[in-house]
Amino acid sequence: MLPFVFSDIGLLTSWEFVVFVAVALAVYYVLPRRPQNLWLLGLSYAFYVAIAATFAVVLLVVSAANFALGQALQLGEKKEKRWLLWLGIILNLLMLLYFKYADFYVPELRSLLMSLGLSADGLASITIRIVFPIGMSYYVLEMISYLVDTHRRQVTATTNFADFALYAAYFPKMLSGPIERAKTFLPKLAEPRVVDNQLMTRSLMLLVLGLVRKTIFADLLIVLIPPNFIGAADAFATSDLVLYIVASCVFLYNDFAGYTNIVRGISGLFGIELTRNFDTPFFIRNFTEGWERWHISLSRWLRDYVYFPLSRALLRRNPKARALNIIAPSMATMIISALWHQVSLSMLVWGSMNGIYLLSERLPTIRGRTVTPLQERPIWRQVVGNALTLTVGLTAFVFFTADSIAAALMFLGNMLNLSMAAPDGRILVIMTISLVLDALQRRWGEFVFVQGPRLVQASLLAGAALILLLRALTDLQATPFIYQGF
Amino acid sequence: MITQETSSIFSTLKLQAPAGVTLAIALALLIALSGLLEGSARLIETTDLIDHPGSVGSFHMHFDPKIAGLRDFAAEQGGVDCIMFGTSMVHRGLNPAVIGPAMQAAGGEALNCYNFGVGGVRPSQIAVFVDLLVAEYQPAVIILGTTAVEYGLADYSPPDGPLIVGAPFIQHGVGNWSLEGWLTHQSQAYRYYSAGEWWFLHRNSWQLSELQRAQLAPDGFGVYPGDPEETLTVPSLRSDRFREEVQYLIIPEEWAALQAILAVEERGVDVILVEMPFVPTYWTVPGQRATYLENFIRPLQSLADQHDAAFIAAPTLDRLPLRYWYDWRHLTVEGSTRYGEWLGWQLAQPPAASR
Repeated sequence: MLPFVFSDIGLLTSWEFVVFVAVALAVYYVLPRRPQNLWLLGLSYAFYVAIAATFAVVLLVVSAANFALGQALQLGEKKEKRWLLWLGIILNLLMLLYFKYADFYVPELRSLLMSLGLSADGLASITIRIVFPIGMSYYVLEMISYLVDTHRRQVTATTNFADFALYAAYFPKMLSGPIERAKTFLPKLAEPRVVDNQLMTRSLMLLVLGLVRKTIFADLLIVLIPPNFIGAADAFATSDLVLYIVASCVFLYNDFAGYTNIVRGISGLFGIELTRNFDTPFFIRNFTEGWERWHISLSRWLRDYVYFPLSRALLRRNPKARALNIIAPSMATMIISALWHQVSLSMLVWGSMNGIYLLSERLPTIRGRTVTPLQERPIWRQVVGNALTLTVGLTAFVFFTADSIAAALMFLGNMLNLSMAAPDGRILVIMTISLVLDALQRRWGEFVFVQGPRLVQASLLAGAALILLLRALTDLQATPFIYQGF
Repeated sequence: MITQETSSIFSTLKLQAPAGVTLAIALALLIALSGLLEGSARLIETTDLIDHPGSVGSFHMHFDPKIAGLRDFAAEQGGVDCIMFGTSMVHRGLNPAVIGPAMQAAGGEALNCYNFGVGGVRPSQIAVFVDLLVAEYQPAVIILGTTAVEYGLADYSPPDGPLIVGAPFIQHGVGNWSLEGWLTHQSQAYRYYSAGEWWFLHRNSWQLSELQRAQLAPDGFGVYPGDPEETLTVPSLRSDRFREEVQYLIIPEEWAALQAILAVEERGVDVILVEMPFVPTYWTVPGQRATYLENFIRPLQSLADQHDAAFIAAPTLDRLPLRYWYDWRHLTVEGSTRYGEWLGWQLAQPPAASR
C-alpha cells in the first residue's frame, strides 16, 4: 500500500523520496505535455496521501473553492468582485486559522465554555483534535495571491482545474514552498517544458548543494548545538551562548535553504524552475536588504499583499500622515509575518523588533532625506552595517527561538555575564565552510559551482558526492526539515 | 553519456553533446579518490601511523575496539584458540594472560585466548557475536562467562546490546547485506571515517571509548585501574525489587539464546560455561543462594550436559573476599588475577573433575 511504502516520503532526503522522484522523472520524460501535468498532479496527490490522506482532502477542497472563486472573479461584475475577493481571502484565512492555530484557541475555547457554565466533566468528554495539514501555511498564501492577482487583472483565472490543482499541490514545493505566484507558475504549466543541458546542470547543482546544506551543515550543527542552551543559559559561558545562537541561525538557514535548493533542483529536472528563496542572507548590510534575501518568496508575498496594499490604503485616506503611513504598514507586515510563523508572545516580540529595525532604516525617508544606495556606501560602512544588522538581528532571533519571553530575556541577561570559554571548534568549522560557500555565491553568483573549468566542477561534484554518500550511509534520514513545521 | 540529441519521444529532455562529460569525469574522480583513500588508509594501518584501528560503526566502547583488537590478536598469534564471551563481568573478570599460564602450570594445554566480554549485552546478543566470530576465527574453544542476572527481568546494564546487534557491521555479518555493513567489513578507509564521525558527533561517548581502549590489553582484557577514592558500591540489596529479582525467573528468549550458543558444539567448537562470581555481600537474602542454584545453576548444568559442554561453577565466597571487588559484580585487577589462577587450574582438570 502506498502510504505504507512511502511512510518516510515527507523527508526529502529519504531513499523512498529518491525512488519516487526517479520513477516520476522516467515516466514524465516520455509523456506529452498535457499528460505530463496530469502525471504531476497524480504524483503530488499520491505524495500528500502518503503523508496523510486527510491532508489531501483538505487541499482538494481548498483548491476547488479557490478555483471556483477565481472563475467568479474573472467573470463577475465589478461590485461583486470586491466582496468575492474578500470572501475568498476570509475563507482562506479562516481555514488557516482553524487548522494552524488550534493549539492556541482550543484551550481558550474550552476555558470560555467552562466559564459559561458548561461542566468540566461534560467538556472532558469532548475531544477536540485538530491536526495541522503540512504545507497549508504555504498553499493558502498562494491561493490568496491568486485571488488578489485575478481581481487586479494581473492574472487570468485559469479554466483548467487540473492545472490549477497542480499549482496548489505541486509536490516539490508543497511542503514548505517556495510560495509561487499563479502569474508565473500557471504559464509554465501551459507551455512545453524543456530540460536542456543548462537547466539540467543548474538543477543538479542545486540538488547537490541542497543536500550538502541539509545533510552536512544543518544535520551536523543540530547535533552539536546543546538543545537546551536557551532554557539553561546560566549553565553556559557568554561566548558559548553567542556561538550557539549564531550557530542556530546558521543551522536554520542551511536547513531551509538546503530544502529550497533540493526542491528547486528537483523541479528543474521536470523543467519547472521555482523561485529562489535565499540569497546569501549573512552578507546583508541592513534589515531592508535582509528581508529581500531571507525567505524571499514569503517576504515578497508580504510586501505585495500586505505592505503595499496597506500603504496605499493609508495614503489614500490620509496623505499627510507621513509617519503613520510608513510606521503602520511596516509594523503590521512584521507582526503578520510573526503570526504566520507561530502564535506566541515571544514570536510577536520577534516580529515587532524586526518592524522597529525596518522603521529605523526608514526614518531618514520620513524626514525627507535622501538615502545613499547600499552599494554606493563606503566599504567600512557596509562592513559596519553588516555587523550591526547581524548583531541586532540575532538579538531578535533569540525571541524567535525561545519558548517564552521570559526564557529569551533570561538568555539575554546571561549574555551580560561576559564570561568566556573555549569555543566548540566543530561548530566554528561547519559555520565557516557554510559561510565560505555563501561568499562564493555572493561574489560569483548562485551557480558559481557550475561556472568554472570542467575539471574543477567535476572535482567539486566528486568531493560532494563522496561526502554525501558517506553521510547517506550513516544517518540520511535522521533529521526532518524544520520549516515543514510552520 | 549522451552524444547526440535524444529521440523525438522525449519532448522535454533535450540534452545535446557534450552532455554528461562533467558527470563522467566526476564519477571517474570519485572512483579514483575512493581508491586513493582506501590505499592510504591501509598504508596508515599497516605502518601504525595513527594509533587507532577505526570503528565498525556500533560506537560501543568495548565492541568496536575489540573487533579490531581480535583481528590484530589473531594476526599476531597466527589464529586464536579460544574466545571468551560475556558481559562487562567477563571483560573485567577473565584475564587470558593469567588464565592461560595457570592452565599450563596445572598441566593443561596452552591456549591463546581473547576476551570478547562486552558491557551491556545479554545472551541473545552474545549468541550473534558467537555466531559471527566463530565463523570468522574458528576457535577450538569458547568460554561463556555467565550469571542468572543476564537472563532475568532485572536490567542493571545500559541497553547497549540491541544497538550493537542492529549495527550494519553485525547485520551484514549475519547475512543482511548493506553497503555500510560491507564497507565496515572491507574498507579501512570507511572504518577511519566512521571513527571520525564518532569523534566529531559523539564527543562524550568517544572520550569514554578512548579511555576504555587505553585500558584494553592486547588479549581484550579490561585493565580497569580503579579510582583510589572509589568505594565498593552494592545495589540496594534489601529493596522489594531486589527480593523479586532474586527469584531468578528466566526469560525464555534469553535461555533459547544460550542454547544457540551451546549449539556451536556441532561446528566442532568446545564450549565451556563459567558461572561468574558475585561479591560475597550479594548473597544477603535468606535462601537466595538456594534459589539461585535451583532456578539457574541446575538448569544450566543440565543444559551443559545435554550439549556435552563443560561447566565450572563460581568459587566459594571465601576465595574472593570483599577487597577484590570494585562493585557487586566487577572484580579488581587483583581480584581477576586471583580468580584467573583458580579458573586456570579448573580448566586444566579433566572434564569430569571440572564439572
